[in-house]
Amino acid sequence: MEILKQTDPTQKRSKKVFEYTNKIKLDQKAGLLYNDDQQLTQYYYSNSNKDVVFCKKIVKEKKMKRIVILLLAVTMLVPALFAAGKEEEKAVKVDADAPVTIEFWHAMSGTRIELIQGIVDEFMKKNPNITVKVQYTGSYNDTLNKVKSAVKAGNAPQVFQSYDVGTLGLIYSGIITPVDDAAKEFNLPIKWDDFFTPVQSYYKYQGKHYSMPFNSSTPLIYYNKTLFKKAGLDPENPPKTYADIRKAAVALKKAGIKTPVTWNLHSWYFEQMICLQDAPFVNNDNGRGKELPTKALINGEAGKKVLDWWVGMEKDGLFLDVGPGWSNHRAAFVSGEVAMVMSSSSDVNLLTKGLKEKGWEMGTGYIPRPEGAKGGVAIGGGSLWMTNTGTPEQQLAAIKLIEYISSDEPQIKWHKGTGYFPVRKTAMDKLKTAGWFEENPNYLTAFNQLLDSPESLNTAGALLGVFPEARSIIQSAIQECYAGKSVQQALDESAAKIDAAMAEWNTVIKQ
Amino acid sequence: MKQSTFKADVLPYVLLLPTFIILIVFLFYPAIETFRLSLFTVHPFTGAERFAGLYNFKNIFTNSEYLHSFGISFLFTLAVVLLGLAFSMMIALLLNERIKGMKYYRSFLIWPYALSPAIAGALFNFLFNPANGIIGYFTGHRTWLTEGSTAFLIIILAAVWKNLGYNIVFYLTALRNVPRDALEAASIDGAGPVRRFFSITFAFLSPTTFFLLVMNTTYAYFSSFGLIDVLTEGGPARSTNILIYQLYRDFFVNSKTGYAAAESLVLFLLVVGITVLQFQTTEKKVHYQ
Amino acid sequence: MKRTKIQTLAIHALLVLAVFIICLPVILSLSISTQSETQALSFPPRLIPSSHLVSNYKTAWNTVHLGRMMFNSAFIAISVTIGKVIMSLLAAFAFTHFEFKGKNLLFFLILISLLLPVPVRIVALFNVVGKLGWLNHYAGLIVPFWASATGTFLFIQRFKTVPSELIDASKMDGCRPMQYFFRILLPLTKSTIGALSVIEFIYIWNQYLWPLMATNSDNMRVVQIGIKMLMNAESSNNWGVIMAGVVLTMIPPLVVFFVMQDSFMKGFALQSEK
Repeated sequence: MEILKQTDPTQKRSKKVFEYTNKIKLDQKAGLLYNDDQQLTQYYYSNSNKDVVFCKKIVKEKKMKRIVILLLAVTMLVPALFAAGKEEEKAVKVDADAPVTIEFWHAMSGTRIELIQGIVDEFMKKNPNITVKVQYTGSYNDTLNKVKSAVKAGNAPQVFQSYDVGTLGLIYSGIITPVDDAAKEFNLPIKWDDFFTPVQSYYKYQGKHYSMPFNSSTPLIYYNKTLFKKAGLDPENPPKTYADIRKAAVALKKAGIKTPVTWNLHSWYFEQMICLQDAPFVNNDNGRGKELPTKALINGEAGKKVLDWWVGMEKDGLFLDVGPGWSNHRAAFVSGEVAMVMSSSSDVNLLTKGLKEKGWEMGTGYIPRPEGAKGGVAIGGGSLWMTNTGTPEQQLAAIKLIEYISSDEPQIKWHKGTGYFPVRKTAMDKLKTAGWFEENPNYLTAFNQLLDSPESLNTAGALLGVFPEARSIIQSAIQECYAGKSVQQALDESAAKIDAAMAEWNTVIKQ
Repeated sequence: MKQSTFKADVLPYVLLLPTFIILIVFLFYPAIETFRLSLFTVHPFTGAERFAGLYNFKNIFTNSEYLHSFGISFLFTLAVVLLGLAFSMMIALLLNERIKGMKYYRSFLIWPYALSPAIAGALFNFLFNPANGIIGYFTGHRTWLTEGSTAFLIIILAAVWKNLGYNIVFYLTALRNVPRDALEAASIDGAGPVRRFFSITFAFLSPTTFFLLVMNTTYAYFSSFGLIDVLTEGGPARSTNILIYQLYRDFFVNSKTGYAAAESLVLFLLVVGITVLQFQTTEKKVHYQ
Repeated sequence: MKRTKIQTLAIHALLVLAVFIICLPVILSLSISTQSETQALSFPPRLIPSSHLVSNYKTAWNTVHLGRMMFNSAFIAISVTIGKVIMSLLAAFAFTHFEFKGKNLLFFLILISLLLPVPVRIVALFNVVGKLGWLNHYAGLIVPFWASATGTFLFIQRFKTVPSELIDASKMDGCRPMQYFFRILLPLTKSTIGALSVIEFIYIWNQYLWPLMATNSDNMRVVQIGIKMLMNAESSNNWGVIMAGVVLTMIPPLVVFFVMQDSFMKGFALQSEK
């Protein structure tokens, strides 16, 4: 007796399952039940004698949705079986109204889970034939790993969220459908002109958008206006250049704040501050050219300027080293231990509230640049990707979901609930009209910083296949500088390590 | 004493079958497969393999980060083993004295064994945290976890702390078997407590010491992963990036499957080598009854 | 050997010091788990417990679905323990009460398995479990750990201490091997089973690396990962909540340990007897 697992509906095995369920007598219960991972949890099969029915539970069941999922699954099986063998042809005729189920995996934790569910629920209301199963699948890294495993196992989600640094890897992964391709195939063009330029240009590679920006942010300077006043600094005039920050820090230190500036140890700030000088992070058009990037350019003048200033402040006791991780620097700001912090633009609400509790007022400013630098910021965060698995109906549902999530209404909800930018300028206009920025002037700073960023390959953001590893290398290098290594040496060594990693990645990705 | 046995043809194999099925599927096969993968480069998404011979190994041993990790792990293990055995032996000796309340003392000293390395990491993270660590307050030194050298000391401390209980239990049990008459005889002969300890007790403890050497070595190389992940994540500046942590990063985060497999093989050879070495050097010194 | 009063006092003092140092981190965590976020963050740190016990524990429970994770950890630990005990018993029985071809080879293989802990095979183990479809399922967290060299060895040692005469006597009574196993051997092994169960339960409850890789949805995660998640969670730096989570995670293995302490010690004592 075989244990039958429903994977690709066109495989022969599923036909057996289909046949067995036909043999079941009418007074027996239905034969197939699927769980959230599209895997068989209960099945009936006959033994060698006759239609004696056994029931085996593979996975712990959940609840009532079983029957609905079952019906949908059976409905899906039929056309899928007929479509077997025809998968090569581009399905021009897609039944846009047939009931279809897709899965959407994301990495947004905490209160964001409900927020996303709310947006998806709205989408399902507008598209009654589409059922979207949303799952929070852990961190970005966990989600990506889960997607990789699922693709190999044959039960990948149709839509998933990935972080910015996974972009080049996914472009070359062979498991995704670029959103522009899907939009073209189903004749649902996306109005990219409506989008903020840096937001959409990050995910555009050689003229094509591969994923849909979803949760975008930039770094921002937050400062304690009340403490600024105490130190004799102008609270309405945030420091803009490296020298300004230093001056403000010195003044704050004199006013009694031991180490007045901090941000968490994250390579993101380093990358952004290179962008601000309109310098590339890697070669070959910042990783966006025809050739894959082969050299890290972080040890040039731009990189050196950043670290000389950053590490210099740490050495002079103006900068507090709170390590990596996103909580320590926020805590230090909110407790008043520091008066200036750099963090994600999505922290506006959190930090304003935190300061208010202590009776302090918060200000925001653009992130600092060396004098004369003329670049802009790039976005960070995540985007939504489509896997190239599933039926054409599922692909259509996926692109519809992705398009919906990027539209103004859900994006405004998302922005208000999380602080991430809404991806379209049209959404910003709506927010403006509704008076949002009068109530929340600190948000306006972030938007303006984005709008003031000139468009270039550098501000589009760098693309590397080994970005996670590169970040780790850079972060370690900065710590080594804290411990005494020279900035140039640390950068040179890091660049060499990243070059080696990229070289290996470039060969492996082509095999 | 010759053990009587039952006569049966198939039964023993049937009894061993479940164990060996599991061992083959989940132990031997993956181990061999991992070693095989170390000779290939693997595509991070599709899993496509390309034979690469010793390429991964060359990469590992020319990678300064890996070599650094190698050295760190060795020092870490050495410290954890020596300190762990020394402290637990001392405490076991104290516990072995017949005093009132021994049972209570014992309970309160060995219970950290029941904790996980991750919990130990969380607790020590709290104690030494740069923002609000208590130890930082009392000692005035706040950068325990953000400075490489001190972070390394902290992970040793946490690892030793967590495993003390385990070592103490074994030493206590072994101490019970130290024959009192031998000690009494030596005492009558005029040997002081220190002399008595080193020539008699220590000898009787040597099988246990040897056993614990091996167990603590594997503990330090492998089980401390949770501790590192919660406490320092391998930082700062890779100062606590022991081999198992680097392996995890390379496999799970950086998706360098072949490379990580090579790291696994090296780790395996390392631990086997250390164990064999311990076997050989201590075999002479270990006294069995 | 007589001891002076001073020596006794010194021993007590040293032991008390040792207990204090060893217990300090956990006493602190208990106290912190009752404090609010700002209290826990206060600098100088506040050592006296406060009143936020219930709210902290509730938050920890809800933020990362700690309840579900504790269930997972418990279910997995118990399942592994039961399976492992059974398989080790059977394997040990085979080795000690039978002669058969390949016995030495098979024994050697079990010995070798000690040299292949999870991290050494994790790369391919991940793929194997993935191919079985067991990633993010209980099976993937339970089944691979059912075979155990330590368990087998423990039982082998125990079985060897059972007098050989019992076997001869039962053979004369016409007792079949499995009857002997269930009726005679097993009742004698209770305390060793207890000891192994304690060790295994704690070991699996405390596992970190494998569950980290083999689970990726909240409903399958185990409690150790929950601690890491609590520390990384958005509203983190709320050490009161983190410590509440830590305390909750510590309780089951500690309970198991303290309750079974006697049989645990007995199990070990029996192990070192020849």
